[in-house]
Amino acid sequence: MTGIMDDFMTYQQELVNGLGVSISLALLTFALGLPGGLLLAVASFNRAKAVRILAVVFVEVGRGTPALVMLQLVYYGLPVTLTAFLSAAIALSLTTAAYTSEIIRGGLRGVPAGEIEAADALGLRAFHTMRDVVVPQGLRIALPPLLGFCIIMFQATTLAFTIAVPELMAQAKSIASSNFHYFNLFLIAGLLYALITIPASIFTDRVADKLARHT
Amino acid sequence: MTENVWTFVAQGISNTIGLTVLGFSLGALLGIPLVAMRFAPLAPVRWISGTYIQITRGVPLVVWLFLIYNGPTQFDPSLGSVFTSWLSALLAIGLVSGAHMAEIYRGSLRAVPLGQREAGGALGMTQVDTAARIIAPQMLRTAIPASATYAIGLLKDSSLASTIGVFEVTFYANTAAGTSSSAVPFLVAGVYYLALTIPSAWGARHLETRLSRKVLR
Amino acid sequence: MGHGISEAIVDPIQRPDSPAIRLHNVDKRFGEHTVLDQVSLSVDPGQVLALIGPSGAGKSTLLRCINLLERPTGGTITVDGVTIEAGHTVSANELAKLRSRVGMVFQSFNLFPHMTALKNIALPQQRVLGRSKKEAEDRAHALLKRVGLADKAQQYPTRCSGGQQQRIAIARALALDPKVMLFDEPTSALDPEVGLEVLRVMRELADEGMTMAVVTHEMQFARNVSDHLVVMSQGRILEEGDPRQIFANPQQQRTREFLRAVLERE
Ligand SMILES: Nc1ncnc2c1ncn2[C@@H]1O[C@H](COP(=O)(O)OP(=O)(O)O)[C@@H](O)[C@H]1O
Ligand SMILES: [Mg+2]
Repeated sequence: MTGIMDDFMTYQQELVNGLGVSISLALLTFALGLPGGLLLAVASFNRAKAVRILAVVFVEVGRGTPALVMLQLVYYGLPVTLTAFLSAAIALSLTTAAYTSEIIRGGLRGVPAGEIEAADALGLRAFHTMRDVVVPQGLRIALPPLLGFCIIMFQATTLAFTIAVPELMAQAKSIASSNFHYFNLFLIAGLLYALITIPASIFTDRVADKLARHT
Repeated sequence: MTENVWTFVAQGISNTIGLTVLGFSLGALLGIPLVAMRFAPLAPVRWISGTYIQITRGVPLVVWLFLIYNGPTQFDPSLGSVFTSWLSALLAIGLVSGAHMAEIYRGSLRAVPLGQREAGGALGMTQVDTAARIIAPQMLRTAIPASATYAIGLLKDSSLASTIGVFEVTFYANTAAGTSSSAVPFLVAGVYYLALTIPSAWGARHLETRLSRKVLR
Repeated sequence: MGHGISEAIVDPIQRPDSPAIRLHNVDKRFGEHTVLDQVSLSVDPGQVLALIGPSGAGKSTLLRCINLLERPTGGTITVDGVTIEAGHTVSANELAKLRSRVGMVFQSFNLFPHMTALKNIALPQQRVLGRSKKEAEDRAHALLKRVGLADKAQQYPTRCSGGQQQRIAIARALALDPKVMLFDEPTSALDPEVGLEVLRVMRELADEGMTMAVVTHEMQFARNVSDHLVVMSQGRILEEGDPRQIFANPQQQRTREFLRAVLERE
């Protein structure tokens, strides 16, 4: 146990920096991926069939491809050279967009038909009905599963170590391979991840309870 | 390379499927005692299983993989030959999916109306009997589609096992990409995963509608 | 929500004596099922039309055809000089034009629960009529006052009683300065005493000269407030005319049976 504490104190700087990179990567992923998911969800209700089909294909491919494969594809496959960090953010946000579009779609569908009808009867354009009536309420309905998914995507940032992004897992791995304290360092990494994910999932449950009570 | 990249990457399919099926089975079994503990009359027992589930799900799978694969060698390097890539991946996936499956069981148990649980008692059935005859079949109707969805997710997550050297689809894609310095093998891997997951997802959806129709009847 | 290229006929000349609403041989089928069968009727400006009849008669469908929430499968519909022929595609512009002339109030209120009462009334004005926020909110305040809810401006719909919600919904429709108001059983979801608040607002509206078409189960309202009564059954008009006359002396056997049944319940 002291060994674990010692390792943590010795490599505190690297580990905390790594966690910082993990968090920034997650935040950039959400900033790109969540609007993408909303866009795909709205597109899946589009009047034009071609748009709907395109959205469905994107979502199915995005959901069917493992995040790790997506990561390698973006990093090695894009014709432009991007930093590993940016490649990871793009790949993870593609996955995020595909998954969250389904979650958001469910939320949008949860908006009562009567309200959409009222908006129609008032003469609101389809775009305004979507933006002012359906989206705000649909996102509210979708909030708990969206938060849950964000926790999963935060965990998925670990995959970025495979393309040498210096996030927490990469740091733990590199330290461990120099001092051979594999168990200690991976345990520390795991605890640091849990330090964020467990409170986040408790928070998510609270939000879900609160929303359930208010409707 | 490009001609046989398809066959090269395909060598990993059996391991991808094997790891998914065995890991899921292990998780499905492990989930049973965990969910039983969640409903135990003793508070500490409930607490232990709740904490176990929370922590297991809160730590990324990649960390579990490396913790099990490399961790033991810190204490005894010879343990490296015990915790092989394959065994470590199986244990990590089993561990994590056990926690998820326990939550799926819990959710489907909650979906069974409370009245039916009580009605069983009123009819003079013992608790175990009630559980086996009335609750379990109903639970399965909601648990099966949710588990199917989870298993499909696991198929994609099994790609992470490549990071500790399990010879599955992504591992072969990685190797091929390394030697050919092109991203095509990953495209091939992506196609294989889609070919495996999309039909399974359709199957799961079909199963779900069939089961929900049965419930309505 | 939107529709293709316009071919609908817009009549620019509106004679002062032309009806505010005119339906001519309107048909509505859902697949094989005929819900409206050659319905013709007209409502003059300032008139109040009451529509009664057993459940499933097609009253809601008829009302919803007037603002094209349902597309009629046959016939023509004219509202305030805008004529729409069944079968022709209607452009988004024309649809907006038609709907801006017609206000609708639903049985289930259908307020937007994530907006305050004030915003429920102001936002459609901004979006549909292009009013400024200030103009729209001033109008919303004035209308809330008119329906007796001046103090509810900042309240969310779920915090209001059913009767209050329905009055907010009426204010929301009125805010767009419609030429015609449609009401689909506006009090059916309310307790009788609460329904009275709503009926009072509707009566005031009628007295001020609003053209209205009201589907209702409130026989008092039909008898005392409406100018014209239409009795529907199985997608057709059974009989129509002066409400007092029909109540006193129904011509059709089916009307008699229906009236006896509802009046007994009261
Ligand atoms: N969208 C629809 N699809 C199919 N049938 C419908 C639809 N809307 C209404 N109907 C049918 O039309 C008939 C008339 O309905 P409605 O206009 O609601 O009657 P009312 O308002 O007089 O009770 C009913 O038989 C109803 O089932
Ligand atoms: Mg009706």
